[in-house]
Amino acid sequence: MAAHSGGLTAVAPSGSSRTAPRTGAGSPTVSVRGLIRGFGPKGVLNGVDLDIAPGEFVALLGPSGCGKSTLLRALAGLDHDVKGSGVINVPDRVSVVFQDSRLLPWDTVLGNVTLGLRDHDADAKALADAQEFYRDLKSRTAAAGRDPESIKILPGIVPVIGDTAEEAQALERELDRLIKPEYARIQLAKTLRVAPEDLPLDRQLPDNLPSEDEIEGAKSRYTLIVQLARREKLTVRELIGRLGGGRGHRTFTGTALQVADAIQEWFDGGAADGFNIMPPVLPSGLEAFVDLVVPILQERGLFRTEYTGRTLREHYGLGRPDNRFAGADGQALASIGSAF
Amino acid sequence: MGRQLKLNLFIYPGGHHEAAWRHPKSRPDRLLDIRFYQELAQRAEAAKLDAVFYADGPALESNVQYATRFRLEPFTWLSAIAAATEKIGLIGTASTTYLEPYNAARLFASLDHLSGGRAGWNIVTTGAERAARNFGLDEHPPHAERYSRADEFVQVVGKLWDSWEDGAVVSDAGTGVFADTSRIHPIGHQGDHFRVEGPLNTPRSPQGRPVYVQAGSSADGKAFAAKHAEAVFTAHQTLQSAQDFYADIKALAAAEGRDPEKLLVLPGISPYLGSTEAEARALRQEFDELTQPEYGLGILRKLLGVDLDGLKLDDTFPDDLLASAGRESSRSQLLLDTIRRERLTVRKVLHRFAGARGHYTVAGTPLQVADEIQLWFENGAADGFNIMPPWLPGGFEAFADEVVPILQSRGLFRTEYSARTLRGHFGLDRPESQYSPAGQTTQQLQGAHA
Repeated sequence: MAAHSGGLTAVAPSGSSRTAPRTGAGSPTVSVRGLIRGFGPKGVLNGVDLDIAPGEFVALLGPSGCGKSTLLRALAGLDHDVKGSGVINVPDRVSVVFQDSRLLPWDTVLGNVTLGLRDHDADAKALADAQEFYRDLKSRTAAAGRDPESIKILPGIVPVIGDTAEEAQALERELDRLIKPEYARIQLAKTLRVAPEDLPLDRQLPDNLPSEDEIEGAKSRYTLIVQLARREKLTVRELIGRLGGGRGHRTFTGTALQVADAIQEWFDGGAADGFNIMPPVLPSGLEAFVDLVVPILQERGLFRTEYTGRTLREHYGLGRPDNRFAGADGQALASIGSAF
Repeated sequence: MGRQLKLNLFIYPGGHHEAAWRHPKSRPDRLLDIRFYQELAQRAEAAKLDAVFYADGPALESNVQYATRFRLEPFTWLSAIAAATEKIGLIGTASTTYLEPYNAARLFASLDHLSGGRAGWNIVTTGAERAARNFGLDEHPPHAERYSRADEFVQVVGKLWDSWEDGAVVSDAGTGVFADTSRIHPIGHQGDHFRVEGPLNTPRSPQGRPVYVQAGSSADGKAFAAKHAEAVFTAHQTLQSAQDFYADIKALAAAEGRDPEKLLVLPGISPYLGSTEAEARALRQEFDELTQPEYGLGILRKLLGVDLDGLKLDDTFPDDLLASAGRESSRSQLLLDTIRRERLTVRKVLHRFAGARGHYTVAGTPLQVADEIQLWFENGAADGFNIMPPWLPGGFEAFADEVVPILQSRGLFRTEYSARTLRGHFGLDRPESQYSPAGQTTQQLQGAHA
């Protein structure tokens, strides 16, 4: 439970206000006392008191403009620089599903519902997304009458490896700093269909981006980029760093052990049959992966120590396809005669 | 040093004799093994040859029932050869009828980069009717239209190769500038056949432009070669025919405002070697006897456009039949001349044809073959040759081991490479980008040759 003042100028909506005393069992989950809100000269909420018990379901009814959304936004700590006073106690984690146009059109329902959760656990969300993709594609493969094992799902990962986690992060920052943001911002603006000036480098992406339906071309890459930025609350500069690092692919930054753990988590967790390793720098990035991560994966029995096959199909465990024409009652060169 | 021969190894799977794969000297088991070809190219490089040449067409050729008529795609093949060699040139065929210029420009620029400047483009309009139906066309475009397209195709490819000026890649880690975009140019080509915006997505290659090679000897083909080609592959059965062609194409090049020495004429030659001439002839006979007449008869029918049903293998061709035969292509004209001149029987024609598809076959001692090469070279018939071994690898090994040293001892062929690029081997200049200041000056001086 956290106490805050509903996003008033004086107090940040999260962080410092989370140090408020926790309430005991049986206490309301949400508690509002004397909440006053106004925009300009107009008063909207005038001394609202509200308690919501754990598990309680509350609906606010009233005509348009009576202050329902204002109360909701105050609870979620979304409004900054508004006039008002009062005390608000809400749980540490608050999620808001906006009505119609305030929904994030690039995201799933689950993504909208869990919007507030995600910056606490971006890794878990990325894994969940990969798992969902994996399940979806395997089931579509089965639905197409194929063995789901006959399609290998190989996400791209950019391993940024250091002797310590700090070293790895320092390497990632060093690489990001080498990117010239001017050009990358123009490219990003093209992808997002906005003007480059609408993407200040040290601000997050603007709210009013086009929906995926309006994007011609690489729709899924558009969605992926927007989701990544929203999920991790990245500034444009940080986003450019991420995209420069792997053009939207997943970056694993850490020690060899941490990278191996992450790979295993995705592999064992139904998110991947394997990976496309995308070294951030060649050849050193590949060498680090091959020398440091591969042995750990081999040690754990997760990766071969010798080739058992000679063909790519054999490496992937895919069968050699039958020839659809062999033995079939169709035309053959021999029956065409002199033309061939 | 005087003028020296240019020699290419022209590799056909198994060799150029259509029945080569049946001969015990052949290695039909290795025809899909890239190491087989890499070893051959290394052998050719050890003999200091200028280039290996791989011909191609986008359709299955006839007679796969009796001959090794399959193809490996040339860029895949040449890339593997590039990785196994260091100096020798790499010439591949690409069709102006069944590719887009952007594809062709990328393929050759890439090959030129990864080989360090050894790529050459055998520009063909594709002769095979059958290719059309592999590309959504009901029929092969007519000759004139193919050459019209080829002309524009070559111009577009040249623009794309030039679209990055030399030095456009600055790779300055300090400023973070990788490429100087003032030296990368959209080509904005709008023509009858192509609209290509450019630029190419590959930096300008080591040779600037890979070497332009051409292999059609029809009137359209010669006009095209005179305008664009830097080497011409051609087929001649006699010194006289080769001399006529040589004089003609050099004059045409001069008429285009070009230096005739920058257009190399390289006839094909398929040598059978023996320690005596009789031994060499017997060797050729061995291969010819392995030929299946059925397929050759089909080819003859097609080339001559006449019905051969009444003829027996040991009959000579009746005059009225020869008179009614078609002579549209340079190849059918060549064949008719040969039949008439030598009063050949059907079987002899089939054998002649099986040897190297109309190219010059010669059977003799190494000295005789070297003499023949020198004769053509010094009498206005050839600037060098495409060596077309009847079978592989032995047919080439014999040439490399026994004929090349004679040519070297006569000062007619290099004993060491003096260059690292195909342009260097062929004695051709490296062109400036037409978009660079120097290139624009050159263009004004030389006219519009692209």
